[in-house]
Amino acid sequence: MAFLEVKDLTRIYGKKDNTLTALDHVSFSVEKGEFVAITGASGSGKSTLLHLLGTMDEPQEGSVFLEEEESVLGQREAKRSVFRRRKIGFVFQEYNLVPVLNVEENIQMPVRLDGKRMDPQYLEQLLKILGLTDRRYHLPEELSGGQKQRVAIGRALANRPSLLLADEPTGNLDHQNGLEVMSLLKRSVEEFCLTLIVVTHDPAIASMADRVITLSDGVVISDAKVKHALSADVSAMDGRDAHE
Amino acid sequence: MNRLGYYVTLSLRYRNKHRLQTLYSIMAITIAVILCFCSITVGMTIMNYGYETAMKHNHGCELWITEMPLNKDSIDGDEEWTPEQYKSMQKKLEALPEVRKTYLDKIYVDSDSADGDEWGYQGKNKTVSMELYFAAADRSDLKSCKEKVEEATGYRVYIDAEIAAHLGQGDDIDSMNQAAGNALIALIGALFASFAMLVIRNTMMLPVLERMKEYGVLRCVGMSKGQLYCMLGTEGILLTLVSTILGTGVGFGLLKACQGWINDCLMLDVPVEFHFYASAVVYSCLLCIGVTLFALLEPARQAAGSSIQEILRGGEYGIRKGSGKKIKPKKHRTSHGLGRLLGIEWEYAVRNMSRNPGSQIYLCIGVAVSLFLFSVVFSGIESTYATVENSTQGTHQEYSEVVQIYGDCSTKKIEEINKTIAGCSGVQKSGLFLAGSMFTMNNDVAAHIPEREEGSFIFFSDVGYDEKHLKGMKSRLVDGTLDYRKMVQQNGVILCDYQYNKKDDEGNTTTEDTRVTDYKVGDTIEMISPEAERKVTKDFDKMLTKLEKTVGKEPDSGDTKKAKAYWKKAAAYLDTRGYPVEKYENTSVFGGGYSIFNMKYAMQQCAIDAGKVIRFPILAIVKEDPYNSALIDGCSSIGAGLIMADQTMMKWGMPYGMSMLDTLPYGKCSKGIGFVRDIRKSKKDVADYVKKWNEESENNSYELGQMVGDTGYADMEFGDDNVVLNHSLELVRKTGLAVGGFILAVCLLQIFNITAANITMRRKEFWLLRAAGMSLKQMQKMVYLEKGISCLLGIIIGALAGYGASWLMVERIMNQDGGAFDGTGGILFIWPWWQILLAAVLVYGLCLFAGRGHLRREVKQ
Repeated sequence: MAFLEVKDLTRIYGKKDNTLTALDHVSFSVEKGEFVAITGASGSGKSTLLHLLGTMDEPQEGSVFLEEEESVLGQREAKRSVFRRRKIGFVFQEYNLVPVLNVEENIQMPVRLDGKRMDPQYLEQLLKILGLTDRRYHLPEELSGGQKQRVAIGRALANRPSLLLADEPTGNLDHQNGLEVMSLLKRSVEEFCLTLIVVTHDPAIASMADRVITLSDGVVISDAKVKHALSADVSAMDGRDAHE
Repeated sequence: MNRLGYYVTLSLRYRNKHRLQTLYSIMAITIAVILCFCSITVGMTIMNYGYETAMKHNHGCELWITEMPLNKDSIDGDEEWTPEQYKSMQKKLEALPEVRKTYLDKIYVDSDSADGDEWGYQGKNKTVSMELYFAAADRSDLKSCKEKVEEATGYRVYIDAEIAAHLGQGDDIDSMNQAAGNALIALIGALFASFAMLVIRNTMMLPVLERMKEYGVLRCVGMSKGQLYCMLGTEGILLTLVSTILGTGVGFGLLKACQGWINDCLMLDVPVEFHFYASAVVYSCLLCIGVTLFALLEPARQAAGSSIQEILRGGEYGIRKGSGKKIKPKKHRTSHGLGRLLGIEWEYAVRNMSRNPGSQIYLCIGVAVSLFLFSVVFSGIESTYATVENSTQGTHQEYSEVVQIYGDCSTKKIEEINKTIAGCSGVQKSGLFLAGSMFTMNNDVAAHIPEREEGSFIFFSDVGYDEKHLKGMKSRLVDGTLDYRKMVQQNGVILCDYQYNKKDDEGNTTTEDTRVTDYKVGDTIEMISPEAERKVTKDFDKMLTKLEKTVGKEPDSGDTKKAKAYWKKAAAYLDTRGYPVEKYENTSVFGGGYSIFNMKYAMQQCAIDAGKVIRFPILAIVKEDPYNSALIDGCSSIGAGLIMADQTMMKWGMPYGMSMLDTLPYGKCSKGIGFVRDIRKSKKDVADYVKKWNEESENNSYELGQMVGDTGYADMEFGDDNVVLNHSLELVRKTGLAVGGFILAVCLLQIFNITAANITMRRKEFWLLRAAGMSLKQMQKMVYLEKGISCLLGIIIGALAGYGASWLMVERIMNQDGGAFDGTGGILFIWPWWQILLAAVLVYGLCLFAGRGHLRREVKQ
């Protein structure tokens, strides 16, 4: 069985006559360490899929298996919360940092919610990788957009999750910061042996992934592998930007 | 512990950053703590007051021994203990193992002013009254201690009822009273707690709404709903702990600051003292933690119940969200209609209220609860004042107080005095007053009052002219052109014949009004004829002269044998003069006994028996005047009496110069100035005027004397001399004003918080409207309309509910068994419409004003 198995996932909003099918029997699988991009037009169901994978939403049908175990979808909320903070890391377009906590505290958040203390060495390692060692005691309002997103990545990695989910992680960033964030994400995948699923409608970002799954009206319309190297990806982004 | 620490860190960080909101939260919870702490402390003080007073009075002892032997029900004077006997008994008690300590209390009274027989052993210079108290070695069983001491000494021992009740050893009634007291205090506490809960909930809503996105992030990274509840709960507890320190400090300070004033007002023998009860702090802290946690439930539910993805997207969240069910399309005729008629702001306001009524409902509830409490408090004050006014003035009273003129004063001068009194502080009306009385002895009248106290010769029928009958005749009566006696004879009398809240066989006041006499309209009241009365007076004087010459002066009434012999001789003499008074020997009528003082009444009765009477027809029987009829039972006088006068005369009894023996039975007029004062302004002005006048006019042929109202119940008097009642009323008024002001202040705080929360919640909506071209003015108008409608609704609901509750309270609680105003002219329910109106205007005004700045800030972001 693959690292992540999605089977017949269906999410319908509304009731009776007034319904909207956001996902319609979506199935796919992802191998460990794979970087998958999910693309599609606005309203195609990308974010819904990501929220379902992150157990923040409940499907009407279908199931998700993570590391050969059925995920906690459909189970009680407390169990889903524990699953979410231990197995999954989230990166959002809008950073979503807690404004009253500093960089270090924001990163530690999932571990602290688990009632544990973060391994100081691991924290140092993360801060170093993220380039935030000097900013560790700064509040989010004192950081730039790119730095905020790096903190968000740090927070997503704090509990050493096996699956990293990112929803338009570069959407709010300029080109340079976008590059840095994507580099960091890719580096994290390699360094910590993660599986990364990124929702994006940016073809350049998608082209950096190992696989691109395209959704349209809640249905998978294509699932294709991409052959490239990270440098090529970056070049591709550079080229795109230069062209733009 | 780690998690708890983390929740504390998160809470402290937020609170440190948003200090103004933290201040609001602490203020709200501190208000709750003050309410709870003060009500618990006052409750504990009230519950302990009886016990503490008794302990102080009894010098720390629970029991006392009396000089009554166990096998006797009464003792003679020579069996009373002397101080030596008391001391001997004290030693005896101290030797008993059941007794922990004793205290021999001596009360010294100047022998000149005290009656030795009544007050106890009379020493050389002082009269001494003694009480021998003792404390039980085992306080857990006072009854057993009492029995053992009684057995050992042979004398009766009593347990202090207050102490016994406090120690849980009282009788059933004491326990029930205590339980009722506890229940009442718990009820007041619950009312305050509910009010506090609403305040806290409304205050905590804003910080929760502002942090909604933060909660979304926390939940996204793995915080469960339970953890979120825990985190908010931890924050609530932290805030409550801080508020407890502040609230108990402020609350105790307030109580201590008011203590002196309360004692001044209540004028209790043992002053009330508020102690700092540690248990009150613990109870109020726990109660407020409970209240805070309960108040936080709704905001926490909002935070936990909202969809994470919606929150993170910055979507709509707030007090109420859609159920997700398909909604039947509405035509919104009302909002469309209002929009067409009055503008788009009306349409949007009505639509908002129907689509998302949450915060409007809370605003409405907040205002309604505040107005409700305000109404109840002020209705209580006004009803108390009205009840006291009614009890002192009555409904048919023309005047409640009188400045009486002793001596020869011209009508012109009386008019002058009247004008001066009319200008005194608080005087609402004044006028010439003339009191007249008719006084006669008649067994037949007594027979018409069947339920008069057995064995007592006190029965007093209150018959009078309605003030309307007297109007226009006053000046003529004052200047003497109209003969009072003739006037009464020509017109007849009006009988006030209903007893309000009559006492039942067990002495409890009932809520029924009952008739006291069986007289009917058209019946006549027989009175001795003027000629016969003059003859009685003449014969009585002759008899006194005769007996003085033959037998000597009347002996001391205490010497029963001599008094009887004297009376018999007088009776024998009177029998020869046509007065067979001997048949009234030893009858309860006219006082019984062998007092010559009563002999004249017996002679008058003999004349009546002989048919020497005139008859006064009863023109009407007044039953709607409970005040006056209360006097039939309560007012005492020797002999059967008929009073025929302006009812005001009954307020202060017999006119000056009139006594039982020297007055004419057909009335004697006394001149004066009657007046009614607003009891809130019952200051010293009239008294000062009277005093000043008398000081400056010592040589004049007349002097003034002020008489205050008297219902026949000493505790219900008022006026310059009635300091206790005035102080109590002052206490009620000022406490009411303070509580009312506090309620209003909290109400305004709530309005501000709810409005701010509502605007924060709808931030995006305002941005959207602004982007779509709505001006700030239009937006403000829309918000004003929403709040205005909700607030108005809250005011109406609160005022109506307050009216209902106040009425119920007055009707059911205060009137029960006569309530606190037992024996008065009835409890009146007053609706304080102008105070309510004032509060409503204030609340409404501030409701519209609140959030103005908040909206401006949000929109301009």
